Amino acid sequence: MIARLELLRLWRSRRPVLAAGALAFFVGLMLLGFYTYAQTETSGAAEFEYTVENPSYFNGLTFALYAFYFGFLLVLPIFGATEGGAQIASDTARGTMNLYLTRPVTRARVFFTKVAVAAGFMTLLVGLFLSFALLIGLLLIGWGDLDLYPGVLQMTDRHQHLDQTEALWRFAFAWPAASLALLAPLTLSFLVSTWTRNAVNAVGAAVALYLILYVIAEIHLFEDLRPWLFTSYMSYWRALFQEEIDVAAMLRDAASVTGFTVLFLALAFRRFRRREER
Amino acid sequence: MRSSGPILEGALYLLALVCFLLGQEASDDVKLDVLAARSEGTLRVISWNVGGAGGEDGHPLADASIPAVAETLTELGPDLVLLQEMASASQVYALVDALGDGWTFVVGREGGRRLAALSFGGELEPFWSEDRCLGVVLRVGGFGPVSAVGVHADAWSSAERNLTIGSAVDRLMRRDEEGGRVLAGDLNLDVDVDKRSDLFSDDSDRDVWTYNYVATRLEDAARGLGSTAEPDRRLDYLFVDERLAVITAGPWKGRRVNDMDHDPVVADVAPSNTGGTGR
Repeated sequence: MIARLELLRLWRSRRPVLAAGALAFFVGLMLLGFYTYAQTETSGAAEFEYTVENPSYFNGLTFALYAFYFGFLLVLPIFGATEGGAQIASDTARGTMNLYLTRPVTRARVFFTKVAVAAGFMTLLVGLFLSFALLIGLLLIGWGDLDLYPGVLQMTDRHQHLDQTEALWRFAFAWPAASLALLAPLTLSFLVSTWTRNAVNAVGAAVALYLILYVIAEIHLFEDLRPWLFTSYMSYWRALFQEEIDVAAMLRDAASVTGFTVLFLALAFRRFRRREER
Repeated sequence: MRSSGPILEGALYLLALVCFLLGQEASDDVKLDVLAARSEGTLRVISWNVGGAGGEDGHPLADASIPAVAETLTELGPDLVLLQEMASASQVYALVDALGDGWTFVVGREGGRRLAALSFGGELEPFWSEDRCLGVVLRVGGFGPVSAVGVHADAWSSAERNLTIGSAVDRLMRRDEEGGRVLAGDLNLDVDVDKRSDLFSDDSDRDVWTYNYVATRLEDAARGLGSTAEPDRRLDYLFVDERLAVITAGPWKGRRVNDMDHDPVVADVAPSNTGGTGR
């Protein structure tokens, strides 16, 4: 019952439509960026043509991976943060949470239903984004084998070649893997959300926290801090695009990012359980 | 109604702890034990920028560091050494003097400083020398002739690096010595994963192209084996062609003295038809 209600509220909030629209806009900009890059920067060395079977290494799969990678790092976490803010702080600010808690349901059930709905929404959003990027890559550029070179996306330290079918399988595996990673910023936003009574503050603080931690994890001068930041582990799914996947290393990073997710969840639940509603 | 909240909360903490423990790695240190690893029938190649970090633009090898460099090279017993940042031709003579008998050498130039190629027990014949590049053919017992180019690319300009490294690769690929090809030196670019190379480069995209220009033709012997220079950067490379199999390779840590800021990169290679195991 609560789940159905939450799903209905999510749909009526138009956040899914807004998120899908923003991601489509992002993919459109990436497409434009790729096109102008191919035209001006590579002097024709990279092809960007309307073909179905593009023989260039620079094809629809490369495009989809680029779009997904940057979307994963910079766009999807913002929707995660928004969702956390909307689920708890927004309900608190509007008094809906008070109304909710007058019903004969436990706080645990309310909290975990909200988390489950938000997590399900993020997973769907990741899948939608990935599918859309692949579809645009197929329709406007054309698929082909996936070739990755060192330096590009910082994904590999040697040339990697995956044939088209194998690459598509890897994209399929990247969906759950990336969704799992995005639960960390999502639950962080839940944690922030339980401490604020204003959705704007909650979303702003969660986004700022994510970006700060992401930047710190990227700068090698702070290398010693990396093990303590969840942002260091989030991109673990990139290992799926290696010819030979280091499964053990990937699982270790997945476990670490899940550890952060569960820790944020536990702390958020603790706060939600104990706080006094006004 | 009895609350299950504390139990759930405790379970979550426990689950988080389990996840963190599963995420622990035993040890990711890659330590190169070249002295123990060398096996019969291998060719040992070293690339080393022996300059120091002090001063406005660094400085070439200090005379005071010559004994330490000689000691390291003697300990390693290489067949071919490609050095960057020697101060002068006379300093190369001084180093060879310190190394003792059995060494031959060729000197090249890099601006006002010098490149050097040295061999213990082999013969060196120069085939190309221009600013920042030195090409030699090494003839050593048990191997066919090996062509090698030592490079010290520009530290500040990615365009200059591109030209230097690109021309070195082109020159090397035109050689056809039966023993194989080696390209090594301080390339002054770092494209390793999980690093922000753009903090140190005026054009990290160009560095990526430059690296890939080499990497699509030659094998990067010490790939993924850690940084070679300060601060935590992999700037020194050793590439070999398909006729040479990499047996073991990597930076040899702990050999810097005074204010030297690069580690020697060492590779043991064998003819690929002898079934080299790779790294």
